Amino acid sequence: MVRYLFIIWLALGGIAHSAESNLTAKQILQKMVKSMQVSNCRGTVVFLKNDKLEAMKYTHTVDKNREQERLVSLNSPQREIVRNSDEVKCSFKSTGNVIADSRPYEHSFIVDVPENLDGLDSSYSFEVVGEEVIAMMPSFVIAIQPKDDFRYVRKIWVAKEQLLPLKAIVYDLSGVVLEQVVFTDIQVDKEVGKIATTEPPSHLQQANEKSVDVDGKAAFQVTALPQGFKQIFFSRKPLHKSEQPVDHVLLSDGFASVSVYLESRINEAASDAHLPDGIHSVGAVNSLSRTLADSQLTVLGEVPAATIKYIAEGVKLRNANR
Amino acid sequence: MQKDVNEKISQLIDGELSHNETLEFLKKIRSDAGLRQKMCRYDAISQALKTDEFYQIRPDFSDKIFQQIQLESTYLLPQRSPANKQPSRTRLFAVAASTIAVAVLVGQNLYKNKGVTNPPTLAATTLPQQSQPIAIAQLERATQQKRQPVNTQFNDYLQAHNNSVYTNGEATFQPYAKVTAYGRE
Repeated sequence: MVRYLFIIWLALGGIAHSAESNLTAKQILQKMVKSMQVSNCRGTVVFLKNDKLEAMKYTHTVDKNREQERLVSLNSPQREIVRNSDEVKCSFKSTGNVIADSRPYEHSFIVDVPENLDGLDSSYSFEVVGEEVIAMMPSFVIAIQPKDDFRYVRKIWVAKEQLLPLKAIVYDLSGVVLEQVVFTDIQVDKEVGKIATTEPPSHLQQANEKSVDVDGKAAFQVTALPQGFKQIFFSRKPLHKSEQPVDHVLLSDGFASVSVYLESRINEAASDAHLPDGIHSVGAVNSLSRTLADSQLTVLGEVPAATIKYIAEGVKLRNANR
Repeated sequence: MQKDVNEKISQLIDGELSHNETLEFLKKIRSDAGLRQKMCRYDAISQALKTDEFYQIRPDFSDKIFQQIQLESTYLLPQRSPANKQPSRTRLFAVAASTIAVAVLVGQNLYKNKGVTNPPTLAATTLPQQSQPIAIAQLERATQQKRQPVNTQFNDYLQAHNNSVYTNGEATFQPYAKVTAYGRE
């Protein structure tokens, strides 16, 4: 009896494995998004950005359709970052300060992949380019290749069994690694997770609620957008220590995102308080600042400098008198 | 045969030969010195007819230049022999004597100017050198202070852009965010 059960188990396993092997790159990524939403897992993850290496303990918990992501830094500055749905809180161990943030356009600290990939066919092609072992787990290697030079190449390593992202890399147009996130170990918990709650912090810095938005439209229009990019977010609020509001429009093609900021220069006494006009680069992030009437326009994002320039040159003020 | 060759040269000068024919004929010219000379003559006639000017270049002009280049001597940077790497005893004495002389002179100068009661010491000579790093540090601090607003503005923008500021160890970020309009498909 036991022998028969073992044979059936092997056969079922084989069918499941062959079914997984036949999945297309898009199907794997879509299953990965679903799996990220329902899995309870924990591990150690390493972020490599701007030549800085940051190792963190990672936990993802799901309880009654509520998701929680938790990152605890292993090195200074010691901090804990918790995402509860749209809200992100970062608490510093040394000072006890907590920063609360609302980020409705992001869904994961590890990798953000849209649920529906069919709309991205005009911008990207998806291909399974191999299989590798990451954190001792066999994984598919998915290449996300842009169809033009407006965006960077990405690769995502997805665990074959758990269908969770284990590694993600962003490459520039010449193939140089710009950003990387990789798990060094990961365990998937079969038990139902329990979302951790924290005591209300003593020094909570709330998000600035002083919105002066009137009609939900930015003071500018982005007239030239590369294929696939669209506006996904807009806000008008003070971003700096001053009370001066800044218009922020976030554009995305599903993987790459670009922010457009416009703020007045009238109230600023010191001209050097602004970013100098021109193109600047920090790691994968390119930015361009220029003067638009009496305001400063800054466009930045993890896209090639040519894309930033293309978008920035197409920005026009809605009201020329502004 | 000779007539054919003359005709080919004429066609080559006038650019009337096809690509393959030109290549084939140039190969032939390269291997035949007589033909090369004839080619030069025809070229000279063509040039004189077209421009009323004529500069005769000897057929072996390029060969002569090549030979001259071959004869040029090669100049390498002088390499110090291993023996020269060790400073001689005399040289060491000279350097030491100069250092002491400078130290004494600078020390006396300081003693005279400041009216210091203590006798000048060799340590006095290090004062100007010590002040240099302090000046550089002050300059760097001033530059950083000047740059700070720019960096702050860029950090604010980065923080509003995505969550990478939380994970890359930059602890200087500010709280932000009030969503006024949001659409996601």
